[in-house]
This record gives sequence, structure tokens and C-alpha cells, in this order.
Amino acid sequence: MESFTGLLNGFIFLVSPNNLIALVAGVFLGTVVGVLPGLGPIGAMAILLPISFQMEATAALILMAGIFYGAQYGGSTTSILMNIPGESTSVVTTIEGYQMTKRGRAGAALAVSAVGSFIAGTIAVVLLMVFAPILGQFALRFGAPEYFALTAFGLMVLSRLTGGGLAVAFMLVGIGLALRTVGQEMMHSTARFSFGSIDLWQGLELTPVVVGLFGIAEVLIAAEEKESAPQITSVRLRELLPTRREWRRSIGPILRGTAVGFPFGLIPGPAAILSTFASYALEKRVSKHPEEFGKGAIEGVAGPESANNAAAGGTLVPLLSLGVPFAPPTALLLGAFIIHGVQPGPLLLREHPQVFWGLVASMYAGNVMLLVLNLPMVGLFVSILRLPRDLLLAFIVLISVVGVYSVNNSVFDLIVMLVMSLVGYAMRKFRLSPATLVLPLVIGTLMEESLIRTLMLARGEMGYLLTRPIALCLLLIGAASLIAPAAWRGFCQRKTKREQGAAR
Amino acid sequence: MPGGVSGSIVVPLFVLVVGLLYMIGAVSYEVGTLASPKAGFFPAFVGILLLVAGGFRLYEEISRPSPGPEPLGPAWWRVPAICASIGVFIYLLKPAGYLFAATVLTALLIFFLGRRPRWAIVGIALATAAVSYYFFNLLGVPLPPGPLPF
Repeated sequence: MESFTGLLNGFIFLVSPNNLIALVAGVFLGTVVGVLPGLGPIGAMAILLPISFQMEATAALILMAGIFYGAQYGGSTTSILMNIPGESTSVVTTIEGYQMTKRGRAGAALAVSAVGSFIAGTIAVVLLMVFAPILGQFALRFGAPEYFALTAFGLMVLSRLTGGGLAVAFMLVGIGLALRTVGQEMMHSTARFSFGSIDLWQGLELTPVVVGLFGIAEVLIAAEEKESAPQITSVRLRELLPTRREWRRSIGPILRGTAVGFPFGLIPGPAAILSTFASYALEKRVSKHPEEFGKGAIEGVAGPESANNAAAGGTLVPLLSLGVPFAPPTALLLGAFIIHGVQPGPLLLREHPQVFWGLVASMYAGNVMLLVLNLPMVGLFVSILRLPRDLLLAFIVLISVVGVYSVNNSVFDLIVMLVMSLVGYAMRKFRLSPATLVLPLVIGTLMEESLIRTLMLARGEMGYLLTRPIALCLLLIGAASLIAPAAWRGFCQRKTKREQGAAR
Repeated sequence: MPGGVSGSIVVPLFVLVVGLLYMIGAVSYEVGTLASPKAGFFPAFVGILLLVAGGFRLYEEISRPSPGPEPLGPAWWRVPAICASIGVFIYLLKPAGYLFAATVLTALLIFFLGRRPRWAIVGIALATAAVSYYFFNLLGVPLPPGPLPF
């Protein structure tokens, strides 16, 4: 009943011009960046983060969240029509989606993908509404030791995103934390690593760092490649209706994709991508027509496209209830929350109910808008790909520099952005994940403060952490997430050796 | 690259150098004790993390070299060109104002990124700067006017 009242209030709050404009802009831009190969939701969120400063906190967060889940919808369009995944989460969709296009069923694939995304996205919001307050209630017991353990847990689990080894992950975490320590320290009011500069004394702002790392760095990567004219298949509105048989074959995969995707969102890591592969494998296994897979099986579009949307909803649960992001886009969303003076976590529902319920209500409305936008306007979104690339990139750079400048009217922020764009470019060249650098930058202050408070509480006894069950559990799970992949690899290697030995 | 080291060795070496400099900086602040940590405590903790992780990665890179960095793209020269264009914008923004700086930035970017006649580049750059100036003013974003009276 409480949730229902909260949701109702969320809808009342949503129906204000500012929030509605933010929602429409968010889902529209999300679809656009989903369609555009190369520019992902993280880049778009980073570029628009400074612009959102001019907005009220809830409207800004509605805009950011809209870009995040809107991109999941848009990503399928180029996968189906051009065999180019607009988003990393739509890689699997290219397998069956493009084959359907070659068979003249592009419209059906797009329609099933949009409807599947809508159903999965809506169910995920219902589950988010149920689970986030429960987890948040539990997290109300947290004190300084638990918050330190939670931030350490967040860093340990998200550091696995680098794709490299543990050492690489901890190097990036260390660099992120080091960047966070620049400027005045709050507990003792000491200026650290400021070298007498007033700009550095104030610390590094998150906005120029993320715009540089994700926005401009993406432009640099795109610019160094020679452009080629895309081959685009056009789709007419009347071709968007799947046949009755196609609908029948899609309902099961949509529901299974949702069931697979949401729990994946609760697991730290690249949840949405993994969920699409898991869903595709599941559909192939349970299908009555496995021979059609690879030749345009509609189940291979419906399942993964539903899974990635459900996973996107799932990733918001730990962010909203614990204040810890489990995926790179939610790390950026956390940054947006903090910049707007809202701390997500157990107290979010109590201290900022309008933000939580406004966001949930916006996701319901956003899913409907995305369905309405994506089907009839598919031609418009595809035509974005025909925009001259030089103008598009120039426009992105201009928006980014103005956005960064506008936060503090600071030229220093622009210099930081320029330096971080080169860092982001170099990181991509060395196959390092910039997302691993951002999380410590976002939660570094909380980590330091909770560590200092814990040590003071414990009078320097590190064993104190072991007497706090929640903190201990979080640290153990975090440590297990670090060791588990290596342990699993070792187990598999031993098993293979044993099997080879037995075969001989 | 069996038997040798790849270009990726630059990363742990860089982290080790940064970690060392950072550690020197960290201990220059008061570190305190476990029971009473001071301003340098957390940086010292981060410095140790950087040195240990960097050292371990260096060992990994020497014993099992990774494939090395991705090659530069065919139009790699655009990367420094774009950065230089942004640098020019930063330099011009306050003294010359947004309209002029944005025109120069857009013109340089379009020049480097595409193949358009010069009159088109100037026209597009002027129009983009003017429209964006108006748009950002509508959003309430304060932009430096420079010597212009508006």
C-alpha cells in the first residue's frame, strides 16, 4: 500500500512540465545514442551531465536515467537493419535480427524487439519498486564500518569490469582514489596535492573528468577512423506488424528474457551484455526450431532484447538501495545523484521520496514513450545515421566544452577535461576500462571518511570490522568476487587435465 | 610478443612512477596512527595500493607480455588536431568571448574532420556558434561575451 501511494505521488510529481520535458528528452536522446554506433549511453550521460546542472535534481536524474534505458531500446535498430550493434548490449541481436532483415522481416524484428523491451522494462520497474525499498530498509542498519565495507565491496566487485587481471583493476582503482584525494580534505581541513593552486585546492570536479574520459575520448576514437557510408535498409510503417505466428513464438522468449535479465542486473559486472548472451543460449536450447537459429529465428531477437532491458532495471536496485553502482552506467548515474546533492542509498526513500518515486514513475512512463517513439519513428532514428559525421562530432565537442565550462564558469575545468580526454583515449588504446577509474572517483570521499571514522571508533583495532557481521559479509563477498574467477579457471584447468589423463 | 616485452609495459611503469611521486606527497602530510589517522593516512594507503598493483602488473607484463596497445587509426592525426582545436577554444574563450571562440572551434573541427569548401566551413561554424549561443542563453548558461556588447 505504501509503495502504491509512493508511486501515485511519483506520477503526480512527474506531471510537471520540467519533469515531462526531461523524460521526453532523455528517452529520445537515449534512443538516438543507442542507434549511433560508437556513442554509448555513458558518453551521452557524461556530455549531458553539466547541462543537467541547470535543471532541478529530479528532472536531471529523470533525464539521465531516460538516456540509460532508452539506449537499450535504440541499440537494436542498427543491429537489426545494418548488422552493426548500436550498443554493446545489442551484439547478440545482430545474429538473428540481421538475418531477419535479409529475409525481408526487418519490420517484425524491430516490432518484437520494441514490444519485448517494453514488457521487460515495465516488469523490471515493478521488481525495482519491490526490491529497492526492502534492501534499503536493511541498509538502514549501516554505520561507518558498514559503509567502508560497502565502498570497498563496490570497488572490489566493479574492478572486475576491466577485463584485465586483478593488478590492472587495482591500478585503476588506485589512480581513481588518488585523483579523489586532490584538494581540501574535510576531516582535518588540510589541502592535499594542490601545489598552491586555488583550482586544485577545490578538488577535481567529477564533470570534466567524466566528459573527458567518456565524451571527448569517444570522439577522438571515432575521428581517427576513416568514415564509410552506411548501407541502411528502409522500413515502412505497415511492415512493422509481425504475423500471428511470430507473436506466438515471441511471447515465451520475452518472458524468459525478463526472468534472466533482472537477476543479472543485481550481479556486479557488465550485466546487460551477459544477460543477452545467457538469454540467447537459453532460447536456442528450449526452442522447438533450433535449426532456424543463425538463419533469422525471432526468438533470438525477442529474448536478448528483453533481457538487456530487464537487466538495466535490475542494475538500479543496488544503486538506489545501497548507493553502490554495480555497472558503469550506474556509476555515472551515481555521480549525477551526488552532483545534484542527493545521496542514493538506504536513506533515499526517507530523505528524498520525490526523487525515488519520481524516478520510478518516470521509468513506467518512459517505457511507454519508448514504445510509441521507437515503432513509428524508426525511419527518423535510422536517418540519424545519414547525418554527416564531421558535423555530428563537432557538435558533440561543442556541447561538451560548453557544458563543462558552465558548471563553475571555469577554464581550469576545461583543461582538466582536455587532459582526461587524452587519458581516456590512451586507456582505450591500452584496452583499459575508464569506468573502473570513475567509481573510485565517485565514492572515494565516502570511503575515506568511513574508514577514518571506523578506525577512530575501533581505536585503531582493525579486528573491529570482523565483529560487525554486515561489514564482514560484504568484505568476504567482495574478496570472493576477486578470487572466484581465478579459482574457477584453476578448477576447470584441473578438470580438463584429469579428463585428458583418464582418456589416455 | 614471446621473449620480449610489449608496449603495454608503459602502463605499469607509469603507475609506478605516479605511485612513487604520490607516496612522497602523501607522507609529506601527517599520516597519524591507526587509532588517530591524519590527513596523510588515506593517501598513504592509496600510494601503497598503487605501488603494489603497479609492481605486480610490471612483473606480470615481464613474465607474460600482453598483446600491446591497439594500433593508431588511419586518420590518427585528427586526435592531436582535435585536442589542439579545443586548446585554442580554451585560450580564446575568456578574452575573445564565446561567439568567436565557438566559431573558431567549430570551423577547425569541421576542417579537420571532413572535406567541405571553405565558405561552407565558415558558414556552418558561424551559424552553429550563433544558434548555440542563443540556445545556451535560453537554458540560462552564462557564457563569456568577450568584447561584444551582448
